Amino acid sequence: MIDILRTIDLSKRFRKTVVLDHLNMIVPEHSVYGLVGPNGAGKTTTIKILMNARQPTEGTAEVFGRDSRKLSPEDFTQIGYVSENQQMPEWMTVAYFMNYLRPFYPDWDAARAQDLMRQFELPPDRKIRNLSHGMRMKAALASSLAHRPRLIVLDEPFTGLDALVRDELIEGVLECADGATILISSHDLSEVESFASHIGYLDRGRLQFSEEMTSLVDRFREIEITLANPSQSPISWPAAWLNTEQSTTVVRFVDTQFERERTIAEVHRLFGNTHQISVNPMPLRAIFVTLAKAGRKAA
Amino acid sequence: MRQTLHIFKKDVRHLWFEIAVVISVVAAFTFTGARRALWLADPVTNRIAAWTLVMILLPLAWWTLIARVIHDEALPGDSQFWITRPYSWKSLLGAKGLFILAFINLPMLLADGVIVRAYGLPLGAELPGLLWSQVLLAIAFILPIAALSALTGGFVQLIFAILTPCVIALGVAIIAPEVVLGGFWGGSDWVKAYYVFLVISIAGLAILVWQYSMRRTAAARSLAVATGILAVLGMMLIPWSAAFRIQSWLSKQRVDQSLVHVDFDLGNRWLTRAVIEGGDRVRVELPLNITGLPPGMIAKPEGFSVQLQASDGTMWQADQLPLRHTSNMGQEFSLQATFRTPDMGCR
Repeated sequence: MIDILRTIDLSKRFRKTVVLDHLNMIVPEHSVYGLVGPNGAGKTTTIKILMNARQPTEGTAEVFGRDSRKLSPEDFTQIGYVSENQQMPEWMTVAYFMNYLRPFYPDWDAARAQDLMRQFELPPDRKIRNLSHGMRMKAALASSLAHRPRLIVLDEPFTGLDALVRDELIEGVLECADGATILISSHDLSEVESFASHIGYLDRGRLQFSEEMTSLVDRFREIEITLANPSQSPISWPAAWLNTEQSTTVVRFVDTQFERERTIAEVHRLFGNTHQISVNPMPLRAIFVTLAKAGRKAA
Repeated sequence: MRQTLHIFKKDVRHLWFEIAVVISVVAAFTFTGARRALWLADPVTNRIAAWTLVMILLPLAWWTLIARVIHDEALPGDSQFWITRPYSWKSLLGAKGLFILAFINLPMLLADGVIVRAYGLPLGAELPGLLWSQVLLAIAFILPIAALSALTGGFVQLIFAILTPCVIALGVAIIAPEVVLGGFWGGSDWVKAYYVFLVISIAGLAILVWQYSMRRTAAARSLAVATGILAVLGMMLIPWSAAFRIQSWLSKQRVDQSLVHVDFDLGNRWLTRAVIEGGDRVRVELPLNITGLPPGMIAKPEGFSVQLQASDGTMWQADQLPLRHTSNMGQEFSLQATFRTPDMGCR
């Protein structure tokens, strides 16, 4: 599997503010990579550097194995990019916008462009400035999918959209993906968890984890232990345990490196005999919240 | 080339109104320009006010059009739709250049041609001059605004980019007017203007190419500021003698300088005067006689360097006085030099 996107020790500072701090991220080919994190985590900056819209302070970002600062027009014929805050040519009508972009892309599929406009119910004769936010996003997406890009980059595409429009956009992207690699950023995990194959969690410019969704879900467990005898809190909790809570006979925590035998052995080492150990899988949203809380506490 | 034309067509479609305004003003320029001489001769039909208005409107209309076409794909910023599309910077720059050529240079060239014909001058003979005026138009009116537009994201930013140096110049003009106005160098004064044109054209082109190829706005803005400083410093620091040497070197009519002599005019020695001006300054007036000039040529003083040696060997010197300190009286003229006396006082 080729790495379509890669950052190597990527850092970005705005004066004294560190936005990205030695970010190492890999997006494998054909994956749907959800880059999630709270507002201000550095998601948009990462994407803008990958798209050569901003310059890194240190490190490199690579797209198709090429330094993003050297991306050529030919490279951009293989990229479809949509951003929440993208400035569009307001004076153009939707149809003119699509027709205008057509000659830029050798692989532009006019039939697909028409299908996308129909699917998204885009009014061809309406000027972009007169479109609602949802419609603008649809127009941007349609114009970014019609050339069958090898890489689709979506920066917070669902912000401010209602659930119906969001579902329509997701449907449109997935229908047209054709095996393309998708990088999608969001501050809301629930927006991407249903279709992302990989997930990266960015917080204060650092990638806290980046892995396949299945392995992420497998390694996070919410654990509740009922102790056989009242016990004191351990002097130090294992580093992989987050959100630790203890009352006299009940201990709760989130294990971020869950392996049944190892976790149970660790519980017995710290607390002795237990009455009951309850292991519960966690939804992605709960994992996200746990990590965000732990990150803030550490900060 | 295909992409260049594609972007050009889009710009024409978008900016048709601005284009129409520019063409209308150029048409008014052609009409008023072709009749200007008649109006000057006949006060009854005088429409010089219209001409003046056209001369104000014309650059404003050009600058608006240039800014609008460049801001259509603004270069500063990271959110414009086009920067993540397969635009070739050469095609984009080419499209903007083509637009300016088509709607500013070409109409002006045609307008100048019509005016030349209206005065009965042969177009063929005047063509090199007309083309040169297009080059000057590009350097003086197009390049600076095109470069500033490439450094700004919109019209409001551009206005402030223009106003800021104007306000600084205004402040300097109030505090130290000689810095803004500079000295007048007579026939060599064009050297200063062309120096500024040269700096503007090199820096303007560099900024445009740099911005379109790299979009490094902060660095390009620094270059623009450095250009402004370099232009002002050059105007202040270039010595008059250097400008005069350039003028002499470019002069078509060569004079054998060994034959030309400037001597004390013994026949008019009664004109000699020395006036103590107060303080430590003395104004000396000496009648001079110039001989050895080719027939049909007169001397016109623009500056000079004078050394006076007193009987006790003291040397006084005055350098490169500007034209306003000379009085031209045809072939005979006098130069007025004011000398600063040595420490011992006036002599």
